[in-house]
Amino acid sequence: MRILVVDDSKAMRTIVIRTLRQAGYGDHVVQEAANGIEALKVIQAGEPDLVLSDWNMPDMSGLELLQTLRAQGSKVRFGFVTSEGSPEMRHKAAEAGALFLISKPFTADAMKVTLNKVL
Amino acid sequence: MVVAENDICQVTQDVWASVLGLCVRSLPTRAPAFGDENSLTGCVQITGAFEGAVTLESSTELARRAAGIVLGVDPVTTSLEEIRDVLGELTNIIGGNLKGLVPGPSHLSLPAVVDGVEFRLTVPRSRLVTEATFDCEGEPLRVTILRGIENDKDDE
Repeated sequence: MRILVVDDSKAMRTIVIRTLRQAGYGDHVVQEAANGIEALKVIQAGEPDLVLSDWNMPDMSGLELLQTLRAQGSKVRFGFVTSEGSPEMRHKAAEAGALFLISKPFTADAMKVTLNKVL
Repeated sequence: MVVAENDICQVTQDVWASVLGLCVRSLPTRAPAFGDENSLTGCVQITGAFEGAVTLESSTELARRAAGIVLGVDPVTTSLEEIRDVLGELTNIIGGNLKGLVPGPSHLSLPAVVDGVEFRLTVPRSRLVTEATFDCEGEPLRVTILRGIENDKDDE
């Protein structure tokens, strides 16, 4: 299984990848993208099984990335990992086609529970 | 609308423990200025129903330790760019959580990080609302919430 982690912060990508490992997803292939535009290219080259994306990024936000993917007909499994977990954000995420929103800070258990539902 | 010092303390403690595995101890009084030591300040702005900013000030030593923990390397090997990245992300997470406590809807900016010696980050046309000062393994840390003064007029 291939998981794409999208975040403009290398530190946060490291945290997400480490937490994936702690949550039991260490055997999966993990790719990284530093922004929405880079992520789009990676996805268009070969759709991953899951995209974990930050919301707020320069050039192309996570929401814009998801909206672009859905507009292109992609049904790739997509979830947000973001510092904002308000009901409004969760609603926007769901409306755009995200399967979940994990708010930071997060634990390996929280990630495991969420990802087990979709993978 | 008031975000209490207790709220800042709770959020900061949770973030520091969850992301870094470190404890922060609240200090009852405003910590001495960072003075002549190197320090960093991260800042995220909040716009919308609430106009303001959240800042996170840290000694470079503490930020370097945080970078070492996050990246899984010896802190002394971390670059200034990596230290800035980590502090920016910690600011983002704290800011995002505090944003949930102020009136919405509102938008959180990307973090900006400044570093140096004897500097002061100001957000024009804003005032300090609440701040909390901490000690983390002997190093100072401070989180502030600023509010745009135009918001004060909205309350009148």
